[in-house]
Amino acid sequence: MPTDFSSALARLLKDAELRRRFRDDPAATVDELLSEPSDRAALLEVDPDQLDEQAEGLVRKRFTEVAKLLPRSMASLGASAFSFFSEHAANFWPEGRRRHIDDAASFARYLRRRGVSAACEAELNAAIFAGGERLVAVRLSRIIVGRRRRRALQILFRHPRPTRQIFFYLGALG
Amino acid sequence: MMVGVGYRHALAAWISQKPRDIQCLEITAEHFFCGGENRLRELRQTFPLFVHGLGLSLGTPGPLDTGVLADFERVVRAADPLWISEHVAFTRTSEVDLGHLNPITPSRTTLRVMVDHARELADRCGKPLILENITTHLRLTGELSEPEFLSELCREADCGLLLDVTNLFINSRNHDFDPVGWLDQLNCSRIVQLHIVGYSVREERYVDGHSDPVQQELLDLLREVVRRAPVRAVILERDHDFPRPEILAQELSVIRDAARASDLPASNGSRPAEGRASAHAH
Repeated sequence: MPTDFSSALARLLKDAELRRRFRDDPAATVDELLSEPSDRAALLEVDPDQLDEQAEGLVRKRFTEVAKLLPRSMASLGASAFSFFSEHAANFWPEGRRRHIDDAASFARYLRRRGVSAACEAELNAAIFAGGERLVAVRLSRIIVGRRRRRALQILFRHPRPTRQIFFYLGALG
Repeated sequence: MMVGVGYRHALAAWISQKPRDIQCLEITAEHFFCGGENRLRELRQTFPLFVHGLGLSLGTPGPLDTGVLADFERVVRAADPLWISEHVAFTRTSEVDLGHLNPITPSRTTLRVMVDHARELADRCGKPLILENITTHLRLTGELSEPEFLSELCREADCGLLLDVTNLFINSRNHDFDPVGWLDQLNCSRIVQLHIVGYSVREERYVDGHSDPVQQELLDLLREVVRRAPVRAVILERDHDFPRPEILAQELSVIRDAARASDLPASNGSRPAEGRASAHAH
């Protein structure tokens, strides 16, 4: 659907596949995105490398915000944290006021699906809970007791925000 | 000239002690969209406040988002700031919410959009408005240069400029231009407030991570701006990796000294002051 310059730019920034097509065949992609002649010329002047940098910058800003909500997991993932996040970001784009919470919840689900053991289990539980609608949840989790990871019950509830949580250490399961 | 910080929850305990180093506070409107108005009423008893918006997306063609505008206005009512600010940028369109700031083309068409939205925002809030330059990896071209666009925008919307010194510096490095030459093209009499925070470098590109101490080149550029402009306030815009309060206080002191060194010629009051923002701010 033909649209204005900002809308076309926004679609390019969000969609890596569209950026790849823009790089390969700018004229055809611009025709697909908009019809206004003055906008067309301006969009054709956009540097594909700069477009990719701007798009990565947006993902890095998302990453920074999510890292505040998942600090232990991000620290544990270390240098690979951003590459995991980039994979997640390619398939999920948060919108609206709860975008950072939704992004963190979606990233937590992604890490769990991928079976990334370095992530902090209790933190992922809390992020997924915060991104949902439930008022209370009980999860089996792990916490560090002394120097050992132990099984624990994690009780999550809204109070009303942010999410509060209580851990019960279950020695018998440790 | 006042020197202060952007209000962040991580700094709340320090700010509550009313340290002498903090002369003013900038409130990010979106941080108070879900509540906290009583805190704003407390803060305004102690500090001059400015309300800064991130998500009004003034550069998007079409009407402003009424929900965001209403929330912004509510924060302004609670904070009763000296002035309000937003960015020369867009964050969303009717189809896509990008969530962060992106550049607009410096064209006559875009200028009209920005002017209309800036006037609407200032009128709605009943406060002087200043607009901020952003940092961007994208270098968009239009009929005007960026400083020409900003000068025209301030003149036509009758508003002031919030010059982000770090953004100017980063753009000049990433896009290979002279920041002082950029200032030569700008109507500096419109500058009311400055932002400054240290930059970082990643893969040979300069980045505004809002997490680093202010570097010497930035202080040099700040001096150059203050020498030219009737700056009323400088805000240290730290968002992450906060150092201890005494380190931040020292950084504010360095900024204040740099600004004061440049500000001496202004003590005779001969600086130009024009436009709605300056008129209200004086």
